[in-house]
Amino acid sequence: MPTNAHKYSILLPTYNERDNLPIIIWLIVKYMKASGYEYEVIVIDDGSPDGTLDVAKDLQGIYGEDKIILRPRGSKLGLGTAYIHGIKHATGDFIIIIDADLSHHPKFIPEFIELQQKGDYDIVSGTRYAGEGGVYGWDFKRKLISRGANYLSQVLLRPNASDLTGSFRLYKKDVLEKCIASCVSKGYVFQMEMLVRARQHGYTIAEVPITFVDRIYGTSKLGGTEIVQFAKNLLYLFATT
Amino acid sequence: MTNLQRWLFYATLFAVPYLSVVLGTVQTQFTSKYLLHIQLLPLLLLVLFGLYSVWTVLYRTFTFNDCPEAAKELQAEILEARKDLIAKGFRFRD
Repeated sequence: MPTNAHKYSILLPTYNERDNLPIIIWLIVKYMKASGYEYEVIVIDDGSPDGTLDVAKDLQGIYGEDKIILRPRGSKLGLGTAYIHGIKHATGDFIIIIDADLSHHPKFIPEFIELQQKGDYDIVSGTRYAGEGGVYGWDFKRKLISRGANYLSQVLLRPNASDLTGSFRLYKKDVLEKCIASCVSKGYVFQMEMLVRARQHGYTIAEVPITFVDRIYGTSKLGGTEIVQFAKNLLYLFATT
Repeated sequence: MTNLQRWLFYATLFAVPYLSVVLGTVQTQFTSKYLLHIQLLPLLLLVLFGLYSVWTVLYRTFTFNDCPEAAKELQAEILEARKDLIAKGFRFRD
């Protein structure tokens, strides 16, 4: 079993993920246990009205308070602050961020860890755009928008990564703290800015191809407002970084 | 240097010799003979860049991996997870 002296804190921000939370935690436990790395899962629920927190409490009862840590907040406060909130309570020296909606599969986490160790990278980012990576559940239009936005960001921002808007990543704890501290944007473009700031700070980034299975339960969000917000932030980052 | 400054820098590197030829400050046999071509150069570059961009985005869209096996695997694991969690005493709310 590949073990090391490190501990991996997996941050799981949730909002109305009552159906997905038990499954994602079951999957995390399955693959982390098999890999042998030390880990903890920190659930940051932003006051979900659907009872996500109660579900999390039940899961804590099953898997133990050392493995499942609950750090709820009163209301929806945004992703950046959710990560900061999670980091404060994290006992690991590496942080893994993953979406709770099952679009990211925890089976890739051991791959992230192995790659990080190989090159002592500051960040390992999952990518849908390279190698064996890909998506499931996207039609032509969605793929075109995604590819177009990605191309534009590559041309304008010169990041050292192929998937800028993905949110399945491993960070060294202090690297994540520093990147968040220098980020100004919120919402959808936050992940993009994180990697741009990482480039500014001179951090090294490696990538693992991942498969992205679009929301099985619930609906995915990509509307006009998201695109406008994306364009605005892209131009802002283009002018300032 | 920000990305914007970098772009402006390259644009200036291009614009200085371009404008000096187009506005007639610099005149040689070569520039007089091909003046129209030189005048149209920015437009040509723009069109080429546009074509390259459209080609790249379309190519990447068509070669974007679909992963039906990943979805299938996940569906199977969801069923397995539900069974196992129920066996562990977990109560699903649906």
